[in-house]
Amino acid sequence: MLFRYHPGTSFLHRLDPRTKLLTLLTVSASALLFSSLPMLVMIVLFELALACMSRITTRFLRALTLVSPIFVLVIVLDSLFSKVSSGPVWFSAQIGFLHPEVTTGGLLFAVAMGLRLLALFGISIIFIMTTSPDDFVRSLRQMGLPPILTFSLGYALKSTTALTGDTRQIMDAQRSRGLELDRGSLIKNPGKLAALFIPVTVSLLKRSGHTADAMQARGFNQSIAPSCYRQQKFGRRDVVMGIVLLALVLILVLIPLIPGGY
Amino acid sequence: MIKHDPAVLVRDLSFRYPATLSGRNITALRHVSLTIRPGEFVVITGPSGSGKSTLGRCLNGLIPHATRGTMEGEVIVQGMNTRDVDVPAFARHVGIVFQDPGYQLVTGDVESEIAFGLEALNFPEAEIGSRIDEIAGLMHITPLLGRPTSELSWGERQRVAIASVLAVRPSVIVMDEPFSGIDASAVQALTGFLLNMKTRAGTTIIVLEHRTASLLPLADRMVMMRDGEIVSDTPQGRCGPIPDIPDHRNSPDSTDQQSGIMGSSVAPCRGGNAGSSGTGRGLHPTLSLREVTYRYPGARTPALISITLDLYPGEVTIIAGANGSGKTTLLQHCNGLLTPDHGSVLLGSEPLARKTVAETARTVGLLGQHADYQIFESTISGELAFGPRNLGRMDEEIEQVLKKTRCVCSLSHIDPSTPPLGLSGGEKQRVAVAGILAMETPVVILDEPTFGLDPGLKHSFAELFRRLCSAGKTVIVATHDGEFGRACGDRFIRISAGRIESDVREARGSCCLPPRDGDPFGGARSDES
Repeated sequence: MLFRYHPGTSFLHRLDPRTKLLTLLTVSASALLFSSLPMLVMIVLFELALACMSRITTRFLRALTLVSPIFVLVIVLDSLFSKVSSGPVWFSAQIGFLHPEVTTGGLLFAVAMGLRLLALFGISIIFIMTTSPDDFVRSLRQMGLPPILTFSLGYALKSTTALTGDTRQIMDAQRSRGLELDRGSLIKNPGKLAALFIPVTVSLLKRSGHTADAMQARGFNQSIAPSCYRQQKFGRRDVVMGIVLLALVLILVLIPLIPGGY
Repeated sequence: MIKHDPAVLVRDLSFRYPATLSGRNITALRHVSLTIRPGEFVVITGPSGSGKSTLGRCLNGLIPHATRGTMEGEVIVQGMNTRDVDVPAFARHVGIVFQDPGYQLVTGDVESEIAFGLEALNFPEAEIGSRIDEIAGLMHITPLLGRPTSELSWGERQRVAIASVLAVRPSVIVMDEPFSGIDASAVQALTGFLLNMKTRAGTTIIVLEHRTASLLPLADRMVMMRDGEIVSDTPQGRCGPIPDIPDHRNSPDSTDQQSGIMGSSVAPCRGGNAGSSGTGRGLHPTLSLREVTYRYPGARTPALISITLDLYPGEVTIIAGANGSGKTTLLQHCNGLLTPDHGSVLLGSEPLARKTVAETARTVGLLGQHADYQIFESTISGELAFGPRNLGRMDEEIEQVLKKTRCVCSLSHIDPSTPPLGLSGGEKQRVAVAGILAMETPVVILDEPTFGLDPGLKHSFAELFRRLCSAGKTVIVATHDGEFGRACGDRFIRISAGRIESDVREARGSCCLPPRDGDPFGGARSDES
């Protein structure tokens, strides 16, 4: 699985999850607030630098390639139906009530929109790939979110793997009993689906019942403010990251003030 | 810790579950009364479905607060009535380890799992840290601390689940079959640890377990249950060998019918060729592994390292080894669920790699761990026919096979149109085994088939496997249960860290189980010897 936490020891991995959350929010906000092309290019480059530092460059690029069709679609649609139209017209047509038109200004706008999406998506991937869900949940708890909420989030993150495991086990069992899943279409044969769907549902219900019992038996929700083991602590790294973020925002704000700039 | 005397008081307790899918209304407990003093070590034993687990759930308020059904009588634990106090409030006083560790792990990694209960009870951070270190050392799980819980094997999960409950140091500990699925050395470590808790901290320990052999020397009392009632309550010293509990649901089916089932030709058992290397036996192996190496994606070390193995017909091969040693991985290579990174698996002389798992199912029937997972049909007969139908067998043929299979798996007393999902654990397990046998494959592979079964059922499985082997089938069984292994095995393979550690054949006088002194099942086999 690509879109999950990949353990590591890099600068970003060792940051407090709260700092990473701040990074996620700052970069996302900048990508939404600043719309000029050079600024968005800068943000994307900043993300690329973060990815390289965390040694997840390959995974980062692979994740981006996976969703690239969406970027292409956004750029194409935005360049055809751009709100901004200036400069020379490259293409113009009238199809029914639609009036697609490609202009230089529109093209630049479309590319900026694509980059904006890339920036938003990129920083989220970096966050997911470098932050352990458990640490993240812990830091949310430290921030004072109610335990029922943080636990649910943590359990949801964990249960995807548990569910995948259950499903795989059931598929293996039914394949071992001669159910052909490696060849042919699953949709064509409703019986095949039942052989997977029913056991998966049963195990899911069983799991939720048992887990609820186990949690209660171990005193969940007995205390209003349960203690937190492995409290996340801010360190020098977090200060450095804070300064870097501040610098990024300052540069983004100052670029338009440079004479001759955008 | 305030000592309440008695630690546990159960007075005239009855519990009835609501009607199941199978339309059965199960009365799990009938007028149970039990007094357990602080610091006592009580083993509650009894066949599957005798009400042990239900009694366990009554001790921390899960019954009546979180289980549907009707409860009568009262339970007072550590001075608190379970009717008045809700489950979480019991957490500090009563620790309960459930049967299935997969369902009780609630966090993503081992360390947070152990911390979970301590956090919920508001322990300071430093204390949590020292308790985690202590319990991890005692339960031999220190190397697991940083690992995600989803990557652990069954036995490893079991140990983590136990550790996470013990870390709280409750005054009463209830453990529901803690030994199922964990290897001998872990059993020893655990019993030692329990004894230590009892003597040092005066902890009251209640263990619900079939495998009583290792517990008997430690226990103060042994309580035996059957059909929801306490049938005996023996203090220490008088706890003799475990008396036989004949399972009434397991009435011996007529043997003449059984012997006709597994094929008419009863091949001679080759168990007598003790120590022979197998090559000079004049027999061709049905299944061969050649230099099989396999590493799970993302794992650092391979799960199997260059395994070469020939498996012969007419032999029950027992695969043993510690938790996480690679037993299941090995079995999953035998029908192509896993494909080796290096090396090959041969079915006769044909490589397995070219076939899909479903095609291989004609030759190899594999039953995974916790097989009640795979049950889904609305009737037992439908469930059993699923495999043969997938293999394209004719209806009349299936009909006949089902009749035989139900009989060998001691299911003939249950109406074949009963929905299998409402059956008890032991019954579901038998349905699952029958579902594999109904495919009539020459190779039968079972992964931990006796999990959660009582001695009576285990014995009937051991007999069944002997019969399969007499009929010339290749039977491969992975099990932790040494006793069960010895009862039905010809060849014993021990795996350690992905390598074969030992491979021995043991002499077996005849095709049946060797009579042992004090073996409660000794008499049952007279028809075969």
